[in-house]
Amino acid sequence: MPRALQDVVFVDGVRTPFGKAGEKGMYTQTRADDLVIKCIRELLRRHPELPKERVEEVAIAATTQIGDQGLTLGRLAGLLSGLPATTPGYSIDRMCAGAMTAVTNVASSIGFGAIDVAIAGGVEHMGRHPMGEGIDPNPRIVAERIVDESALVMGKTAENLHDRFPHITKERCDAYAVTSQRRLAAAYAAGKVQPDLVPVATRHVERGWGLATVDEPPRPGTTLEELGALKTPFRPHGNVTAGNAAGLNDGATACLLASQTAATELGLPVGMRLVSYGFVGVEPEVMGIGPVPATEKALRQAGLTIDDIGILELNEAFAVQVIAFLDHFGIADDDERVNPWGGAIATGHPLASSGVRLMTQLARHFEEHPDVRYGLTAMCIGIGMGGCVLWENPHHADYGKES
Amino acid sequence: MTTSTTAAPSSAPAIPAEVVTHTPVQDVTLPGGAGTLALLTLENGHDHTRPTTFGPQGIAELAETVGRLRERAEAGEIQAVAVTGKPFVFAVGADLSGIPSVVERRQATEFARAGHAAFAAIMDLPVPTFAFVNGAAMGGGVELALACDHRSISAGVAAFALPETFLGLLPGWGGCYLLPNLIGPANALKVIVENPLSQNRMLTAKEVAALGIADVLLDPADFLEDSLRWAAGVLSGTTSRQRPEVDRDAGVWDSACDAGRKVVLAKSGGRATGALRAVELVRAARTATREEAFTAEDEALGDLGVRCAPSSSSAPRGPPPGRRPSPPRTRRWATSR
Repeated sequence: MPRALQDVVFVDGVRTPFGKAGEKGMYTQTRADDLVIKCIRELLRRHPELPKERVEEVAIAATTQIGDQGLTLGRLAGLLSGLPATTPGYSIDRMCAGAMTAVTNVASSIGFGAIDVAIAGGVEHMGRHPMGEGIDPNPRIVAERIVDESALVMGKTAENLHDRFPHITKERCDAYAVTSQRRLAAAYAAGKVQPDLVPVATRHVERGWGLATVDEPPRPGTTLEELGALKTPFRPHGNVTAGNAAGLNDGATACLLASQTAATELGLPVGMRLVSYGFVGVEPEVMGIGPVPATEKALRQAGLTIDDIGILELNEAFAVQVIAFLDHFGIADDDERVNPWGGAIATGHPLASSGVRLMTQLARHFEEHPDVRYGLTAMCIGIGMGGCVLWENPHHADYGKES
Repeated sequence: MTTSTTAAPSSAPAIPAEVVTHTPVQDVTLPGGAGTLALLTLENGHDHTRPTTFGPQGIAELAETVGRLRERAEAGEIQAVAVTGKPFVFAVGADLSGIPSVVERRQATEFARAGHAAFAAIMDLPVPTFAFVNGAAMGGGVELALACDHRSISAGVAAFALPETFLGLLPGWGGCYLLPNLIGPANALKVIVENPLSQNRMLTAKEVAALGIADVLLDPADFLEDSLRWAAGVLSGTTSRQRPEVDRDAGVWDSACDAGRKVVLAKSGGRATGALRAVELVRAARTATREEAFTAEDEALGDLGVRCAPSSSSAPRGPPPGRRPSPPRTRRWATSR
């Protein structure tokens, strides 16, 4: 049977404000599944032109799939969001790239022609489900030295990366972190972040209900001096601190993807067109380098080079890992094309949810920069992987033409 | 029941301490620049199997919280106040299980007065007030919602009722006054007497909205977020609110009350004295001032003598909270609002 591939477009994306994990955090008594349900509801509210029964898949990522992040979250979140019983769903786990994988998965289904409209997203309530909760690593990992023991502690993999690239100093990382905080504060001040935040009612027995409307983790006034004084918990005399890494956070994201045909038929706006994507494994003990080969793969598949990329949304699990990427591609630490509104060091990084945050922001950047034709979203992934998705700007004059 | 010799005799059941309903408040920044709303949660620290009720301590705490909100409203710190409940429960009315048996009429009316005072304080707040009815609402819970200027209700609410006349009492925290003035005497009497005397029928959320008791019916999935969005729209004037026009003609009002009285007589053979008294309070509600009406409710509760106590044991347990309160089990003296 002859088969034509369909173009896949990113219609719209939203996220909850991100919270600090732990008892003092704003989501401490709010359910994880409720966070992602609010995101799905917001997408449906924003797009009344989309009949609910046209949503043909709900893929939701969570790294720790137990408790309120378990039970085939994608399916239940769909039902609890008011999608019809005919809309199926499933759960995804690729650690930090969960939501990114949810997107590439449903995009592939759309591209193949199996479905036309899907919701993809992720959630991580690291307060309720700390990374590694309930895990049972195979003893062969240690016995046969399949991976270095440090590979399971993300902060240690970041220190390992410093060992690999001694020219990436703590000072560079701290400076990068200050920039991230400053850029997010500026984006907030300009009202750029807020439109894609879904307000979330926060439950708390002692404090009563509240409403989360802004991110909790940012420290807008952070200075180099303050960062220099922080402890290096992963290694004595190390480089990785709470200040130059993303924190432990709670939050969720979701986005709407469609075939170009369905988007046209239903009148759904097109935020970005999927160009290519790549996931690649690297040595687990230096997982932070993962985005480099992943990006090279995605570029190769698209027939593009890094010079064709006008805007980059990189997840900032650790400053060292972003800088390693930038060094590899010859991009300056403070290049304006990279994370123009700051990154995860400032906003927080609720593991499996972050991929869609990058995409939602890239779609907004595309709107503001019709001169930019291509952008990318990339992130490092625990246990040694990287992921990269390339997107085309529909507002560009040459959109849709052969490059 | 303990076997210790110092224990109370088994004929006098031990009175459990009041499960106090607390009233924590958080400020919420409303969308669209509509200002700051103080969101008050009715919370007793238990899950839905122990619904939120009002005892003397809870009422006192509510009154204190409303007093502070008044100061903040006058200082311009807040532009609106909203009340909502813990998951699945708004509030299911009075709980007298925590106070010793009421033996004097004065004690019966005192608690009624305290509730009236707290609810009146909400009505008198200088900023718009909202009830976000997120879950089961009965008796005093419904009356608290009626004391607010605007109401949203979650489509997930399965139990909304004024069951007092089913228990031989009457809605005595403003219900007999506020409800007929909101939706007219005919519909009010359906809620106040006809449903309770029909095996204590509850209203669904849809019916609450159709009757005009709630101004808007919202999906449960993001009820609170939607309610806040709606409140912001009401405050900024972008959301119009439609309420049924109440015909205040004396003849129409009286004939509705006459019909209500007939329903009570037919259903109870005249034995439902609380229901009959409620009909007359509704009749008077057309012209009474709030003070007159609230005083009349206090007196009515005192007069009814109250042979039964709808304590927490009569409140519904577990979602969907749609079960009827069970009939009274003791004959001790207590007010039971």
